[in-house]
Amino acid sequence: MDRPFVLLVDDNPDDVALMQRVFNHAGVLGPNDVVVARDGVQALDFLGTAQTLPKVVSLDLKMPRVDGLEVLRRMRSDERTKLVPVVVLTSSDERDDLTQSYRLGANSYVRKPEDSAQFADAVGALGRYWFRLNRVPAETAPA
Amino acid sequence: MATLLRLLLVEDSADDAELLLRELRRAGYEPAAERVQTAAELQAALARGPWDLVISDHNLPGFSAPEALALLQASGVDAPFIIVSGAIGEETAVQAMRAGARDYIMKDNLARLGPAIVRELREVEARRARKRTEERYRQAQRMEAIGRLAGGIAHDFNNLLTVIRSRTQFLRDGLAPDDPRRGEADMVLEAALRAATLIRQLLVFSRGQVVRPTVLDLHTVVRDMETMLQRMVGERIALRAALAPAPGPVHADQGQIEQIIMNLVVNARDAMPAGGDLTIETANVELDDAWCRSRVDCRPGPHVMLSVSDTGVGMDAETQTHLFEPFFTTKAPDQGTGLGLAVVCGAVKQNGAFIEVSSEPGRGTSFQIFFPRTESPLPGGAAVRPFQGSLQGSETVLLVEDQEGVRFVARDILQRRGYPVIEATDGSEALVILERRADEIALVITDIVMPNMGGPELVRRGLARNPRLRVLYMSGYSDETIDYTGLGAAFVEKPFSPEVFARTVREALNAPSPGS
Repeated sequence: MDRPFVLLVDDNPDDVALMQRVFNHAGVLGPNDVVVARDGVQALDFLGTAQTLPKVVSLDLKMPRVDGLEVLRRMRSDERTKLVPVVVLTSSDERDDLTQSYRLGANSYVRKPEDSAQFADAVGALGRYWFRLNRVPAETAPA
Repeated sequence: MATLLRLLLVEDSADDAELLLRELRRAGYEPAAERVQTAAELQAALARGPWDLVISDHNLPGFSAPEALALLQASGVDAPFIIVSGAIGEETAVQAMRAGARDYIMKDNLARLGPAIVRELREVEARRARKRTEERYRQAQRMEAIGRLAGGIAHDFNNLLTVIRSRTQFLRDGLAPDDPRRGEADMVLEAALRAATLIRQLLVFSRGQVVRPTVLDLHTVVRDMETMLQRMVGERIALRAALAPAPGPVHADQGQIEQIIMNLVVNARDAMPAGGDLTIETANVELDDAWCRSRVDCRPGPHVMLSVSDTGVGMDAETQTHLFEPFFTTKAPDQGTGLGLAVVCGAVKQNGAFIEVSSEPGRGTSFQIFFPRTESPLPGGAAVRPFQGSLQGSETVLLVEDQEGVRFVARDILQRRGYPVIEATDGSEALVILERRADEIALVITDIVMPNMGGPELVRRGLARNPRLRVLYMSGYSDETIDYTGLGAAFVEKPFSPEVFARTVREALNAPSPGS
């Protein structure tokens, strides 16, 4: 059985590096348990072909080529990825994005805090929630 | 070391055969010979091939060299035919050569046999190399033709999809949140998105997608993808990256390189249903004249090689000929679109590289891609990030697009975000407007391919008059590489969604103007 992992979809290398560091320090995820997609196209390519699906997807919204909302829409209309939990993690300040994200099937919506210490806290809490506390649906959902 | 020689011997005398084999060993060959004496035996043996050489006695009881030669030619086996016989007349010898025998050697002068074989095998090798080269060129031409066709179709489809996507989005946004028709609009959007993905793949194949090359280090690209690739192949496959410590930089589009690697890795995985080894390798290589001569698109010089190899089922020669054609697939109908390798092929060519494949049934497959090494240094600094703020604006935009449907959609998106829009249907019309209303126009948004005057020409002339002009290209197809980075111009890919279009416009307006 493949180890559970998180898919980070984010085009900002600084944010990605910070998130990887936080997961590592919190001891919830090793470096091989974090898969990074640089944009929506790569995320969809990965989800469409991966042998195992991520336990949770952390999804940025504003990305070049295919943006986060499109990734979400595609994931929810595909039988394979319909049930994969998605946490939208964005610095967008457009009001519409929150309602749109939930409407399209996001499980959770988190604004990236400006302050990097706060951002790290938020990411750490996310990691602990999805990889320690939450045992559904990835492990119990019917295939 | 002795050279293995797969020899088919048409000879009724076991003693003569033994003499002949001894002579061959003396000449440095290790013959793996099969002796036949009748037409039926010869036919059966030919079918069992492959053979390097056929040596035939001239007269056998009930059989002869001319008959054997005729059978060889009819079988299609490409092997030289040499007659070794006792004394016969000069005329007979000439006749045999005319019929296609490669040489005629007397049994009392067997020392000639060795040099004759060396010569013949060399000629066979040269002939086969020529044939391979011709086949490669023929293949390249066929791919070129399919590519042009696909590119043309994709161009028109992108324009249509731009209209379908944006108009459906408008319709949907106009419906009340609990209106059940929202679901139907979503389904249209979903279908349009799938179509857009297919078209994007076709465009990569036909090399019509606009590429954004930068100077890259393949080592870093592969390293960054390793975790993702391991997850893609699963645990039964061991992924190994044998990366050159310092591969030279290459000039390529990172997104396309990643797509190439992903597609090759997925193919490799699917070729190993029971598991196996998957190796990704990078290396600095020097390609010389001789090696390049028999290959299409190969220029001698320093290259960086990227290879993806598996230990899977492999492919026969027939499959390899069609490998890169769009919609050619060996997978079940629901498991692949048949575009994976077509995309690889297009992306490889568009990035100035070329691809080689070696495979044998049961022996695995290896794809090697050769990128010309560039002299330019790797860039530092971070890439530009998408704009996160409000997408509203009040600057005047000049919109240049010959397709009415697309132009109206773009205009409507802009007006909904507050921008005043001036429209033009081609480059020459736009140029006149630019001259008259230069102070007013903050941004030119232009299609690339248009009648009368295309986008790049318009931009060149516009910039000559006003070096501070901001430009945003929109296109889903381009048969020329546009150096929009040098012009400070941005780019939006068709078919766009209203949101992406509005954001790109905002980014283009926020960017420092080129002349400042």
